[in-house]
Amino acid sequence: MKIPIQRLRRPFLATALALSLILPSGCGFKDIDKRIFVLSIGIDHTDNEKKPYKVILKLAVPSRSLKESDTKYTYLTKESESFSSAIRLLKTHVDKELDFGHTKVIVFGEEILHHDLADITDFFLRRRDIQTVAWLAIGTPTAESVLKAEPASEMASSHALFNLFDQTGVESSYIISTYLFDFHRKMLETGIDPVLPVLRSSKNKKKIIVNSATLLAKNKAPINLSPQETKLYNLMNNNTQKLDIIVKEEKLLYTVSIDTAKTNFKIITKPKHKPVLKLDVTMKGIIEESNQHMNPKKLNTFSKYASKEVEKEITALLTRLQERGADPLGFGVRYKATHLHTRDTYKEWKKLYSEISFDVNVKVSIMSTGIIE
Amino acid sequence: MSRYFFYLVFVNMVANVVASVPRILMGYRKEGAIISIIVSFCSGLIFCYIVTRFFNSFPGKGLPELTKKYLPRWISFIILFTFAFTWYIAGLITLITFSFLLKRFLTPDMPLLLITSIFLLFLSYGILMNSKSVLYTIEFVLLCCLPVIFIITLKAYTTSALKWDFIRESFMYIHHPPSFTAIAASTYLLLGGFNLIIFNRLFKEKQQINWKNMIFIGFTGGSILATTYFIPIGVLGFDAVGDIVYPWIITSDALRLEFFIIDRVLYIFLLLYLAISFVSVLIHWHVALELLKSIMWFKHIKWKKQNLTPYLFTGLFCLGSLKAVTYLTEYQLLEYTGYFLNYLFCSFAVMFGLFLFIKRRAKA
Repeated sequence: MKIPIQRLRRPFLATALALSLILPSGCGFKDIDKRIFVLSIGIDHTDNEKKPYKVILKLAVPSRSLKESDTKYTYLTKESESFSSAIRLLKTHVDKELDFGHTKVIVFGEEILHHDLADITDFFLRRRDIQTVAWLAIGTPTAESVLKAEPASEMASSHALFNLFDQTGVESSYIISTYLFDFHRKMLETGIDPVLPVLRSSKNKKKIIVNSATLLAKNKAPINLSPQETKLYNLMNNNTQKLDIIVKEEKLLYTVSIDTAKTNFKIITKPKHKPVLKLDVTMKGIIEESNQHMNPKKLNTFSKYASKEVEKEITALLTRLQERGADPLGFGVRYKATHLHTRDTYKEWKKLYSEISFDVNVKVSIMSTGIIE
Repeated sequence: MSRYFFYLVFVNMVANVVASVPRILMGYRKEGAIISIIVSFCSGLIFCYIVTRFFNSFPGKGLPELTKKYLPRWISFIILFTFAFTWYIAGLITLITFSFLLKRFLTPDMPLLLITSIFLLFLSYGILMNSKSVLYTIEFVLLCCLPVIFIITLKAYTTSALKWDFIRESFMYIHHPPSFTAIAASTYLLLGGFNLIIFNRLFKEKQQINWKNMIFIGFTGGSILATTYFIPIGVLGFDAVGDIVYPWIITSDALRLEFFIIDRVLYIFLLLYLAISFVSVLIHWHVALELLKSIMWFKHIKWKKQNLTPYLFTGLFCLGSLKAVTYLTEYQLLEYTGYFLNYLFCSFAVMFGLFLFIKRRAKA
């Protein structure tokens, strides 16, 4: 069979064009075995004035098979005057390309909170490869201690810090998850303040505990929230559905386990009246633990006790926040969102907030006493 | 109306993200963006209706055939050349913006020129196809992409990251007078119907746009306009969104599909928009090429019995974009896009004069 050369020209051209596409992919792409993945980044403050930042990178060491591998991580640390220069220098400490595509947790050392955080987050936002859905947290005593902790339950390819914040593994009303973009918008927006979870590592570096938080009000010193307050913040911010309420009434002590919770708030300003912030919380749950026999006929009374207890706690927290001028729930944004911007509504709100009174209504409905009465 | 007409309209609606429309609107969020959007929604629908009605009365004829028949030659030449240039720039803006996006997010290690060249390689082949094949390509790509875009939009509306207070805050600036730039930018979404100036050649059967079609276009256009403007504000924050160069790209990064194969929506979003912006440039440049072909046809440039005029124009298109992509900075691109959209709005208003004139001549 003889094919005229003329007819071969088109297929030849097509093949040549297709093959030429191999060339460009060769110089822009690095294979996965030439990359090393950064899982989390930590930033600490040093006392050295010339090199104020200490950058810690936690890297996942690739292993050949899942079976034989232990959890293997390696760490890089560098002190420098800026992150970019630290990371450029850290690149020379490994033989592979540092890949930030899987960086999901950024930990700030406690010390760094007294400096400008907007400066620090700038780097992470400006870089394209760091996800804006990375979680931010505060490490105590230092970010380094938290990153270097390797909890006993941690498995290969499942970083403990990821599981803590991703509410698919552990689910807890004490854990606050703050994304990078969420932090950024709350830093820039007036009338709402960001809250970051606090990670605490144990001394032997075998445990990481996260159950408290720090509120970073603008232009104010950071405010620490206790675990109980963290839980209430999560409740009020509709972050959590499941939580527990401990009620103590005379000799009776019982715990209610809540499985649905919803919070709404409203700012009521009437001329010639004191401004009121009305906060309604509705919760439903069952009794989980009690030191006495629980009479199912008295469920309503138990609900009332629980409601009062939570009301008291929430009012105390709100008053504390008001005294410090902090606004983690975005009351200010709500005020700005409901008043036409014909004047500086935020300025107006700042004045209002200092004299506003809280009207907290909690409605707990206990549906059952559990398996036993 | 033929379904292909709706595809032409939809491509512009969806592709607005890569034409810097969200960024321009965000810049005016404290200076009357919402009123501008409402105004542009009305004006865009009117534009769309007029242009479709006009071409409905000349089935199977594109603008070049009409101007040649009813206008003096030199006026026809000027008009068609201006339009060809306008359509070329419209495609160019999408192409350059998307090349920048690819360079920034998907292939940062690849030289910009190479990214653009690969894009151009496929585009050149695409715009040289006949108009019918172009329409089939659009249909195929849109049918593949629209469901996914719909899901991402749904996700954006239902995510807990969307804070409605920010959106409500944006409404508190509603009393500001509208701005021309914002009106022009958001009208871009509804200008897809103008591609009929060439594609009407294929709609040979007599058809009439009716109120049902207009309600359909109005409904989708309105919801896409609202989504384009409000979702980035709700996700990124009313104050913070002003600093962000590509509001929609970062918004898609802020969404997270926990249980999907890739949990970063950004990459799915970029791949989708790779297809959408390709189709968008394809339409615009195909129209530009056909317009040029109708006014300039060099009989003597021949190679093996094939006239090389279209190849010549395609080559010029590619050279122009390679030059522009290296010359422009991101900020300049945004600035010029703003100017271009302003110009587009005005030129389309002038176009109606032309339509009226042709219609009168045709009746006489």
